[in-house]
Amino acid sequence: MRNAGRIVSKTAILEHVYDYSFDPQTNVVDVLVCRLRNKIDKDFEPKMLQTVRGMGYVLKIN
Amino acid sequence: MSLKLTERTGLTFSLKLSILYALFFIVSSCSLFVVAYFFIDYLLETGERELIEARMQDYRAWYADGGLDSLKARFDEQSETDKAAFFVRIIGPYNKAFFVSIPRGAKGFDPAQLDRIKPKGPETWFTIKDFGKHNIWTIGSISLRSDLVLQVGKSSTHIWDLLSYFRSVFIRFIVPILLLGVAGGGILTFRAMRPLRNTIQTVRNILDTGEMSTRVPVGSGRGELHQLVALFNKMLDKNEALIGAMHNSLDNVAHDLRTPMTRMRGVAELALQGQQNLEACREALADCLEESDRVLTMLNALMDVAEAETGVMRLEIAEVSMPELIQAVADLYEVIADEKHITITLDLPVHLQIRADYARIQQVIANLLDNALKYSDDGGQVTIAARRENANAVITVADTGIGIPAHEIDKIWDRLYRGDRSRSQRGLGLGLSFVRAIVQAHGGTVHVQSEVNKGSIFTVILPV
Repeated sequence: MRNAGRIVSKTAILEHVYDYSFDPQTNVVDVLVCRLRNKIDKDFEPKMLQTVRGMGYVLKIN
Repeated sequence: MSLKLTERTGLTFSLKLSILYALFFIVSSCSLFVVAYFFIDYLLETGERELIEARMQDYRAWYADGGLDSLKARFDEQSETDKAAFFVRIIGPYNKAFFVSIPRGAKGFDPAQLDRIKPKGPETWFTIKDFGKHNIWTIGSISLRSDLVLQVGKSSTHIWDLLSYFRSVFIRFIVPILLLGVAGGGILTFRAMRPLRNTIQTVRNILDTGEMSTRVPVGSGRGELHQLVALFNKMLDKNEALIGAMHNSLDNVAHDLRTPMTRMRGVAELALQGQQNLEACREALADCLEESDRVLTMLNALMDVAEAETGVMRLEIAEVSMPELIQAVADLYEVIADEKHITITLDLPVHLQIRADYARIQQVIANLLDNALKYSDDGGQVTIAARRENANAVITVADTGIGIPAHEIDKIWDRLYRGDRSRSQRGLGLGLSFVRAIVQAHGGTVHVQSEVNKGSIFTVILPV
């Protein structure tokens, strides 16, 4: 929530959540975000948790 | 030009070596001869003098018993039975002879010759050498009385004959010895230098034709030069393998870079051509970003592997708790394992400290776990175990995945190598190269055991 409106990269998420300082070349974050989306956005439109291709994810609170 | 130089120095070196050998051979044979010559001379002469000395003592004793008459009487008595021929003379002042006996066989011997030699004292040794008349005598003298000197001599011609025979033998043999020395030196050098000549030939061949597979023929010897040849061949093997690997690696990199680059180019071209709206352009840019990330990731991984392999990588060595590290990696991948319904089982001790770079070892475990999950089917099982064995920490990552066929098992560590059945999965083919490079940079080793369709076990051994 602290980074609401700002695009957060996958690497940054990894670093914050797992204290993991390199790209594990795997879709850990994708899977995590997908789960999170299922929890908070499943029945809503527009989605709050959006993917910015090539950059990362953004949490948009209208 | 440098080739001509090596050829010339090689030749002069051989020549020098054979000349040295010949010289050494000749000098040592000559000195052996000379030493033997003088030794024989000395021995024989000493023998002669001892004989003469014994006689002189006898005569002096006889003289002491009854003067000159007694000596004469006993001398005549002895001469009848005596076979040895001695010259005996007793002289007074001014070389006045009181008694002279010259053996019958002594032709050409003249006691006057003795008088011409000035004695150093009453008791001394003379040698008369009259080579022309073939007369060599050894004569000793002692004083009988203050004014009487006894001289006893013996022909030494036989010694001289022996020695001159010895000399003539030497002179007859010196030419064959010389030839033997030169020939021996030549043959020995030729044989000894053969590995060197072969090496020169091989290097020239490689330089001229660029044919890296040429090897120096190995002889049966065990000398230093043969060792050099064996080592040289080993080095060539290694170089060839390295160059081959680099070549392959470069080919693979070029090939792997081309795909994302072509795609990027295509996307950008398409975006530029049409009258696109902003959204489509953003899409194209995002595509480009993703592709360039792919390229960057690959280049970074390649450089990491290269750094670790060449030992340039800076490792931040600290105390690392392996159970904690493995737990953290497992937590990270838990999500993915869940997705594929794979259970990750950990078999960790409470304490297992090693000295290592935390982030790098974490990457190693992550890569192995990532592979284990990638190549396991739904419902599989991955086990990470760690234990201490002597001075090592042994970490195994075992899966129940597709396994690695025997013909691929040696290649999996190669950069950018991807097994036939791994191509369906995303990846660069750098993970295992990286794992091995990092583990080796830590002074450890990594092995794999695998059975197709049963699974693989990767074992990392790190020094504590």
